[in-house]
Amino acid sequence: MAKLNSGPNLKKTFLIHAIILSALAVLPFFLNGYHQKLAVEAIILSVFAMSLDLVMGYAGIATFGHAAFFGIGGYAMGVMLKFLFPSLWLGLIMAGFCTAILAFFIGFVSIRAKGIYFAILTLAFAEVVYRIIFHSYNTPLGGSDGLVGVPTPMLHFWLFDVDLTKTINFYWVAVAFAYLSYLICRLIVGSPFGSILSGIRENENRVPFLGFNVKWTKVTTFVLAGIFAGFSGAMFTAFKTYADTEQLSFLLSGKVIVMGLIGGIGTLVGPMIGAVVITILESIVSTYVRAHHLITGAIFVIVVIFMPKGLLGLFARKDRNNNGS
Amino acid sequence: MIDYLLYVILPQVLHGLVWGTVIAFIALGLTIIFGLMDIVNFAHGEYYMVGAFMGYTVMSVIPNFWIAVPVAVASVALLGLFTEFILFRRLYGREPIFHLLLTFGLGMMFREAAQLIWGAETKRMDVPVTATIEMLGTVYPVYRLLILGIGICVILLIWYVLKHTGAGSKIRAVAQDRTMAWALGIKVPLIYTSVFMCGVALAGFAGVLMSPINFVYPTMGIDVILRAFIVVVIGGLGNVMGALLASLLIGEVEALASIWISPTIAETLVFVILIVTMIVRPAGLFGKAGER
Repeated sequence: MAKLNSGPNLKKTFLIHAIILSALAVLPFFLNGYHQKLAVEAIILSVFAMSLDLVMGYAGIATFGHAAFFGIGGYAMGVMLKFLFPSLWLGLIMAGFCTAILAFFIGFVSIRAKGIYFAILTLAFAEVVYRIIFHSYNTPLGGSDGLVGVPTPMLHFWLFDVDLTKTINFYWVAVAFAYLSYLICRLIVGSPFGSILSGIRENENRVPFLGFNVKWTKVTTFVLAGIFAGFSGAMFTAFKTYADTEQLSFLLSGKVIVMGLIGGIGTLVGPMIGAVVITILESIVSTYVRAHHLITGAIFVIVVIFMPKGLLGLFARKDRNNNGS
Repeated sequence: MIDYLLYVILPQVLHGLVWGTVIAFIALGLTIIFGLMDIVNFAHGEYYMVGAFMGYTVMSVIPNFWIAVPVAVASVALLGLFTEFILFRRLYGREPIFHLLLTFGLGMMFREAAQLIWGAETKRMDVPVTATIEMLGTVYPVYRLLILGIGICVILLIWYVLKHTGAGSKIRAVAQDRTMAWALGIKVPLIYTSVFMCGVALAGFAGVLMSPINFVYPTMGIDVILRAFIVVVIGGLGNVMGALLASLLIGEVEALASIWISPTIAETLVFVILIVTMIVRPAGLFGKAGER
């Protein structure tokens, strides 16, 4: 794991980052319109998968309702753009604010439960959010039809106006967004706070003896992860120009875990790659096969059976005591 | 007042009992499978769906409900045997979150396969027993009471098998300590496979029993699995009696609440009950203290 500020390796890390970023920057010139759109989606989803990694990979908490934050971030952006003011910055602020509150509430309540109970509780919370929005027919949110007709936001960056209606511009903005999110998350996990997180993952019972509060560390992480998921959902809505209940469904919550698993959790980069892989795979499969969920489901099954190495060590020990049997 | 009780409350109480029984069928399988092999079966609702569709298929060939039921149950049991043998067996001893993910993918596959085979549109089966019965002036369909009766019999049978037969004590032994049970010569894999088969067959049974009342469609499993999950968690994962009581609780709450508020909000109320339960008693309402 390359830490950002690790002395002699700094130059090497910098070089790698520069190469990857420039490769990503020129990539759209080799893609057609459809594939550019797909690339934007994949990059936005990679931030979503990375946010899950904060909770699952670093704090070692399995959550099964992460889509709630993605969806709420999306709806917050949609409401901001459609009804208030079409600015990407304001939309992101709104999304971050809403998801932070929601994540704090869910995290604070659910953190008492452990192991599989926590997973099921977050699933239940996410379902409540889903259902409330699904049945909100007579509100601006549009119920099961979703929030449609969201205008493409304006983006004022320093002295420039970026025209986000062009896919290629949105692509670069998405790359910048993903890279910044990655840097912030890397800083978080590299900080003393990140060390406490890994401590909780490795041995939760010892952390209090070192003078750290396990509960608040977990809640804080959950909120941070929620905020990043919300940002990514907000970008998704801004790009797609709609927000719908599919972004909130437990199917997405499950999918994002599989994205993390494929890439390898606890690495930040792994889940990002996993998200890109799954997005591309799904697009390929749905082009050629009508029943693409059949293939996607099969991929999930294969991943869980044959590629669980990353998760295996992380959830060992703890859940043994918690499953209530 | 009396009229209100008889014509509004009583039918809903009965509806709630029937619905609670059906949820209990699914929740019992779920909780027994979890208690025994630590599998959180997210695809359990899909076995319920397959049961309903198999019943529908048999009915369209031989229009006799009492042939359709055993055929549907048997085919779901076979499917359970097949999936347990090929997939679940590879994951024993791993953490429950893996099973949650495995069955999540499996559920996706089942739903899509069902949509390919039977189509996405909802189907309806005829009620096999159309008679109604008059109780205290309220007319109530006999078929629903029949489900209730069958449900009680099946639940008693499960209780009897688990508590008073040799097989039952073997199952309980494996649930308590599989290594020790193995050392005593109990064939643990055989117990796993057969319990898994029975658990999903129970779900399939519920599916085919409910198909004349509810519609049959590929995503019907999702609606029921979330409730079953809630019931199982409220009752305490792995706790059979808890799951049973929680099923009836949820069934009644949903049925009675939908008298005064819209059924969709009543559905959400179920989730609220779960959340409150988890805050007050994280090990479930009927879980023993310190059992988490």
